[in-house]
Amino acid sequence: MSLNNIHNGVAEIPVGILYSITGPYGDVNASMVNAAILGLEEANAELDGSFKLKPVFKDCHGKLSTYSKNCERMIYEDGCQHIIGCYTSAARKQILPLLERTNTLLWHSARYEGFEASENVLYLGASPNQHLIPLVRYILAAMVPEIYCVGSNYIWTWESNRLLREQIIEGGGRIIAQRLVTMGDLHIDHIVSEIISLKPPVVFNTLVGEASYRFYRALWRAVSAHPDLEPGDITVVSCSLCEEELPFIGEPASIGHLTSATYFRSLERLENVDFLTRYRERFGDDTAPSVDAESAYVCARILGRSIAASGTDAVSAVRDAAKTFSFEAPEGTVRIDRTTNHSFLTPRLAVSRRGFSFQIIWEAAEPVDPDPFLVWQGEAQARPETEWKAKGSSARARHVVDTEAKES
Amino acid sequence: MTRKKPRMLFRGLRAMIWHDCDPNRQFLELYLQRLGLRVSCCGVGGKLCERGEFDLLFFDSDQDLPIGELDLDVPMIALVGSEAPSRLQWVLGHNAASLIFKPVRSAGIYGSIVFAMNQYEERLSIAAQQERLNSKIRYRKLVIFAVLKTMREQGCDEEQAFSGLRRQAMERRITIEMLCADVLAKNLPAGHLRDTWPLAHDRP
Repeated sequence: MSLNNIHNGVAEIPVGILYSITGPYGDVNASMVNAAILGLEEANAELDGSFKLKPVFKDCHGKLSTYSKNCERMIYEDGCQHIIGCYTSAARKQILPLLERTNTLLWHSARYEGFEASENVLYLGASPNQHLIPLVRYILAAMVPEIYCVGSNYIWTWESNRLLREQIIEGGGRIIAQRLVTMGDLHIDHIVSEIISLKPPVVFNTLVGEASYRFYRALWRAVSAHPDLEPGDITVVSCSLCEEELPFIGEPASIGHLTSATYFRSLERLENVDFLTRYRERFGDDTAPSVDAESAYVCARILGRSIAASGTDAVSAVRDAAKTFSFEAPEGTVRIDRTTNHSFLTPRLAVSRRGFSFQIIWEAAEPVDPDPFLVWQGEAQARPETEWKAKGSSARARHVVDTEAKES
Repeated sequence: MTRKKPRMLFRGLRAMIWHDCDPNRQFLELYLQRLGLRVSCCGVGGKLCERGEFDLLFFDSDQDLPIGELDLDVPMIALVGSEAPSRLQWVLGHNAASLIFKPVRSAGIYGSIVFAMNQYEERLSIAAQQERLNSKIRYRKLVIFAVLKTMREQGCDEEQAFSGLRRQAMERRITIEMLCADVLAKNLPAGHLRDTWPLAHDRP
């Protein structure tokens, strides 16, 4: 047992919360910090004094070097063995060697581009087969699959565009053009002009922050002013636009965009309605979480239950325990996969509407297997679990899930 | 020459790890399974199974493994503990296509497989290209003789003779060297050239 501090007879376990509430993406990170804190508080309440999870928050200001420094301080000064956090892949990659060296466990909340599976990370955010692939399938099935790609010049865009191109071309569609802008560059008028002249039915947007909001506004103005175009002729699709960003765009430019994500605030599910109520009670009526924040909350809750189940905060025991149960989260049933350390999540597609919210237009019938390396695509999600060798059969993961659900 | 699209997906590939059982091997085995590979392992003292039973070999570069004796024709990735010049020379000497450093961790495994598989495929395609060029050089003399024969028989110049031969080769969908061999073979005792020259229908 390696519980850290005994305080009033209750073992106190420090849990790092590592985000950036200031800096280029500070606005959207604040709700992740809030949601993680709420999750830790609820975990403490659920455990009724058998131990206490103590949030240790450090602001990284969106600077990579600060992520390293803060992570190191959390581990060596505050004694954190568990950290909830990281929004960008660059930040995660920055602290990964430190996590592996010190055997610290990162509870990663954000969606990302896949192609990673560290033993020191539990990935609660969606990987591409849970966000981009459903979007591509929808485009191929329900839209004219001729796509113009615009994005900020960094890893999320590169990898998303590569995958989109492969899948769309395989499905008989085409990529009309791909335009990248330097991260933080707000000059996007030339791109809007090109889109207006090419009139692509679909624009795939991987721009980040203010550049993205400006793009939505400029495109709306240009389409409105054009004699032959109406709003809706050019649909902007993405895997990143969330509720918190819609007010930054402003109506009516924020309306009518298609997003793929595993959580939307408008999800009609008892767990979600309760979650939103508790969140607003805790942080104010004018606040609400979106997908990455909800996921930070789920990280904290699963962490609490895993520590309770294993009776220790030791990383290997907690990691093993975390994979033995499923959690009824606001977004649906969430379970961490034994093989990949990624999560079974439910993909959804939604269109932004008036009132800065999303209307869900499609959701998967059941949680989808994580496939961070896209190994099992084209196999109708058939993926052998680790036991498949022993059984001598290629059991479908979905069957395994069903069996486990029945047992639990 | 346009490059072929690189291979990024390795589902179903059969990997062999030639390394004693330790956390490095255990983690590598787990990670390869995540990537969809089928993995077998063999200790350094064990006898590696027959050639043809795996598509990719990971080997311990800190042991003097008898890799050279095996006549392996698969991409190889060295698991490197000691990064000393002598060991790296040894690894290079066995044509390893890439490296993974010990202790093995998640970062670097996927990348090393991408490089090893693609380098290996490129190496094979360069070897095949080289073989094609070598045979062209070997049969250059036949082309000269066939051009001269055609010039003699048809009273044309070398340009016309060569164009005629090339057109016939294209019509029959064989290389110009093959056609020239055939043209000349008609003057030679039967079977003389066929001992050394693969016929059109023998080609893959």
